[in-house]
Amino acid sequence: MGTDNIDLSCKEAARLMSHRQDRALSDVETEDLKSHLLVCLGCRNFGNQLTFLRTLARRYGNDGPLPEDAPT
Amino acid sequence: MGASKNNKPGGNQPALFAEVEIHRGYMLRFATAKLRDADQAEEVVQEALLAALDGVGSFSGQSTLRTWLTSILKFKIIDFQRRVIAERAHFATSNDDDSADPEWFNKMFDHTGHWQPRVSAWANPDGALEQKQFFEVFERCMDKLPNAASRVFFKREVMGLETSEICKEEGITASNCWVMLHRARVALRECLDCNWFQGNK
Repeated sequence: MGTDNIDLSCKEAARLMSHRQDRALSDVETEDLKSHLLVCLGCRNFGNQLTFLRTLARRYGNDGPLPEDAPT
Repeated sequence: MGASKNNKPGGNQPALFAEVEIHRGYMLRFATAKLRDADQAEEVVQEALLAALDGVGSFSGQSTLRTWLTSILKFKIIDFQRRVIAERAHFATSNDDDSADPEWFNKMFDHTGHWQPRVSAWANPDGALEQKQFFEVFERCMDKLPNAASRVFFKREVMGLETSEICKEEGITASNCWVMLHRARVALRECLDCNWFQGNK
């Protein structure tokens, strides 16, 4: 069993979370990232914000804010 | 006598101005093709024309006026690109895959690679998606990215193109593309954080 993964820095973890949106991560990358996220709140926040950024960009491409009566 | 077609230095200045002006359209297209940005093109053409009028004494009349103007323009474009690179050095995204991260990027982490400060959660991001002003902030943040990074981000995240397609269009490698996208996302996240979420807690 591994201990808390402190091998990956936040900088590395952030890079992997970004790359995850563009390519498949290797098994090792996935495992390292998972262990890091377990112990790192800052990176979990960053990951959520990356996901949000993608939603935002797609929404922007589809004319911006939803009209109030738009179906969800 | 009619005015000579071949204006020589010290000759009829207003006529020369008029003749230089004829070439403005060509120069603009030339600069736009090089810089891919209409505003920047306008700026360098303006600089080139001023320099040309200033240095009109060096126009020998051996080349055509257009060739002479274009050579000044080329010099101004290179000069302009150098300045832009220097100005935006803190946002630089190099074409070299293994290039070191730019300074603004490294500043977000301490020497052990941990966030400084730690990334905090955003309050009500879904609510922001309903607000026109939030999209305006997003646009301004995208405008702050370097041209290439902004284009790549736009193609990937707004248009939803695959990175392989983007690489082909931009003439860059896949890993370079990933690095550019990552830096663009980090810069945009930071920009939205500063300009929206920190004031909307």
